[in-house]
Amino acid sequence: MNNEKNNKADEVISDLLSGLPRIEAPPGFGKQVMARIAAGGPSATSPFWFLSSMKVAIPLLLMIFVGAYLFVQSPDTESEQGPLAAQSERSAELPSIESAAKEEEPFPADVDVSESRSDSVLPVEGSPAKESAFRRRIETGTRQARRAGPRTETNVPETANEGGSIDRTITRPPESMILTPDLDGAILDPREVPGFETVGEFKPADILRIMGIRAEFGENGWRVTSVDTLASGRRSRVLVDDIIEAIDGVPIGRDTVFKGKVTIRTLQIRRGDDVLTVAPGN
Amino acid sequence: MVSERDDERHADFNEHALQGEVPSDHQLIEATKNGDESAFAEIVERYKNPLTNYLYRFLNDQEEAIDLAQETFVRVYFAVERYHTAYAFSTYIYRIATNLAISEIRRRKRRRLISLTGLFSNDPDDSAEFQPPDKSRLPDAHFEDSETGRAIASAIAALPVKYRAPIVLREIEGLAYEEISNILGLGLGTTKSRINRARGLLRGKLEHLRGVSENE
Repeated sequence: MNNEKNNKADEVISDLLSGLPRIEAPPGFGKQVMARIAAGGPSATSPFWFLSSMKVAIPLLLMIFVGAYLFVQSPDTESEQGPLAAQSERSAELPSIESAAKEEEPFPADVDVSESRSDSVLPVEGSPAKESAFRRRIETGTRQARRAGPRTETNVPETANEGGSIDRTITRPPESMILTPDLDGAILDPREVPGFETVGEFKPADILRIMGIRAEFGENGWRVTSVDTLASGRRSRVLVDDIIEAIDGVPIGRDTVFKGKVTIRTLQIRRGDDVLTVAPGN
Repeated sequence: MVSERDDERHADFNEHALQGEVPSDHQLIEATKNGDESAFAEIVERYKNPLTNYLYRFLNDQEEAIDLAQETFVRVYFAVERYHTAYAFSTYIYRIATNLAISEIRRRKRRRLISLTGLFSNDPDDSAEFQPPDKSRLPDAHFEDSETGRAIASAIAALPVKYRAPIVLREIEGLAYEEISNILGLGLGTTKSRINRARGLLRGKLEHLRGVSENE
C-alpha cells in the first residue's frame, strides 16, 4: 500500500521536474564561446586553490609529524639506535637515584677509607635510611651493569690476569664494558667523562698511583690497599679491597702496559659480587 | 599540417552537411580535430541549450550556468585531441559540465555563511549547501514565479550534490540510467539508488504540493 503511494508520489515528482521550463542559452552564446577559445584557453584556476591545497597539506603534515614522533618514541627503535640510546632511556627510567644521593651526606673527605672500611661495603653508618639508600644505589648500579653487558668470555681475554702489553693508541675498549653506571647510577659515556691524559709507558700500578690509589696484584687481580685523601680515586669512591679489573675498559693484568697517549676516564671495579664502573676524572 | 586523410574527413563532413544529413557528434569532433571551426560551432549549437539548462538546475544560478556552459565548451575544444570515442560525446560533455559544477559548488562552500539549518541537521545526507538566491529573471517568468516552480527549484537546490546530479540528469534532461552512470562514474545500481533516494528527499520537501503528499 505504501509502495503504491510512494510510486504515485514519485510519478508526480517526475512530472513536476520534467515540467519545469527549459532554460536556453542566451543569444550570442556561440560567439562568446569562440571568443573565449580565441582568448587562449580555459579560465584560470580558482584563486582559492591555495586554501584548498592547504586544507589537505596541513592535516598531512600533522600526520607526518605525529607519525615521526611516535616512531622515535617507539620502544622498537631501541635496537636501531644502538646501546648508547638504550642506556640513556634506561637511565631516565631509573628510580630517584639522584634524590637518594642528595639525602646522603657527602662522603667525608677527612676520613681515611682504608681505616673506615670494615667487613661491610657500606661506608655510611648510623642511619638506616642512608644505609638503605646507598644499598639501593649499589643494587641499581649493579642491575645496570648487568644489563649493559657484564663480563663475558668474549670481552675478557684469558690472559688478563697474566699480564700483557696493550698499546692504547690502537686498542679501544668494547662499548659494553664502558657503558656501565658509576656509583651514582649515572651512565658513563667515555666521550663525556673527563679523564686523565698522559703520554708514555705505564703499568696499571703507575696509573692508579696517579689517581691516588695504591693497589697490589694478588690472586684476584689488582686489589686496592689504600686511597689517598683528596685524590681523584677517593672522590670516585674507590674503596679499599676493591678489585680493579679494567682501566678505561681495558682489562688489566700483572704485566699490562699502557703505551703512547693514555687517556683514563673510567675504572671498572669488582666489589664483592658487584661489577661497577667509576669515573676518577675531574 | 593537414594530411590527405584529414582532407577526406573534412570533405566527408561537408558532404554530409550539403546532403542535408545530420553529422554525428563523432564526425563533428573529427572535423574539429582537423581544424574545422564550423564543426565545433555545430557542436556548440547542438549542446548549448541542454547544458545551460542542466547547469542551471544544478546550480540554481542562471549567470553561473551560462558561464560554466561556455567554459565546458572551451575545455572540450582544447581537449579535443584527447577525446576518444569509447563513450558517447554527450556523456563526455555532461561529465565535464558536472565536474565544473561540482567545483563551483565547492567554491561556494568556501564562501558560504554558516547556515543554521545545516548546524541543526543530524542527517549528513539531508544537509544542503548554502545556495545564494538567483535574482535573474527566467524566460518563463510566469511559471517560475509561481509558488510551485519556486518550491521545486529550491527543493532541487537543497539536495546534496550526489543526489542532485543524477535526479537532474534523469528527470529534467531525460537521460538513460546507463548514460547517467557513465557521466557520474558510478555503477548502474548506485545510480538508480541515488535517483530513488533523491526522489524520496524531494517527496519530503514537496509534500505540501498537491499530489505529492502520501496521504492523498
